[in-house]
Amino acid sequence: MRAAQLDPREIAALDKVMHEPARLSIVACLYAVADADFVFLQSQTGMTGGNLSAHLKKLEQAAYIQVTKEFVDGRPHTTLSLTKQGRDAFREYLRTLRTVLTLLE
Amino acid sequence: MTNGIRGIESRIYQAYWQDGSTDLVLGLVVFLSGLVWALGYFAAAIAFWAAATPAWLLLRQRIVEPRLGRVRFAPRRTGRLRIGFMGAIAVGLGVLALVVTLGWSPEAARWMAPAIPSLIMGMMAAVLGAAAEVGRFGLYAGWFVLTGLVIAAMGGEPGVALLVGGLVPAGAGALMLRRFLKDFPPLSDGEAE
Repeated sequence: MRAAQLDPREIAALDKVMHEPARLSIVACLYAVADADFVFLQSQTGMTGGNLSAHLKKLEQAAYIQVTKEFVDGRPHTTLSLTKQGRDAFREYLRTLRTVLTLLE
Repeated sequence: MTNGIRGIESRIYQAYWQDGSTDLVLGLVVFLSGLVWALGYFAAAIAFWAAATPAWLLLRQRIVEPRLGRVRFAPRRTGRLRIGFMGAIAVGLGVLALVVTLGWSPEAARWMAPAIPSLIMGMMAAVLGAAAEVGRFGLYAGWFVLTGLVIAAMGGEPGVALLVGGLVPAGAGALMLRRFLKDFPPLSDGEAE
């Protein structure tokens, strides 16, 4: 029985910052592009500004994203991109998740 | 990049072209070029083409980006798109040069002449659509070719063919933009506030 081979530590090894649907959708979105602004992430994920902002802070604290704030035409503009650490963490998260899912099936 | 991530990237890329601004600008430029040409002011058409890219950028900046946001795609995408833009222009100029220098038999050239600008538009739209992976540009390409040939067969002017040809992308673009404005309210940069 394959499920018997599953080590619970494999599940525990899942990145907790990444393993949250809202943050996972942000990271997946940023992984697919070079960079995007706050409004773009809001339009793609469907989150409210406050909710998105809170999740971005967590990702920034984990050093997974780089936040660049500037003024464009006199208006504040925030550009976000995944750091190398964020990209590596996302790939590792996918690898671990794949292993866990394979063992659970 | 996994298939799933490629799918997300592809969906984001498709969403980038769904606001209708590109269709609207393309259609209006072709329509207005045809209009001034039909009225006998061929040179004025150049001004519309020169204004096309700044107008498109302005439309995106003022109308689309406050709702959809701004995104920069991976170099693979932008490189392909740049090649597509240059390819579309090269194809257009190439066909024009071929027509001018090599030519067909005088009768064929006479019959085809009114269709040539529309055929060039069709080829440019096809190349651009392939580069941007936007299927409806293939339909516009077909429409340009069809209107060009029909107007030519009816003995019409090239300006009229362009005028009629531009109506479809302009109309489709206007409808898409209307739907986009309805579906996407303006958003604010909550992070910077």
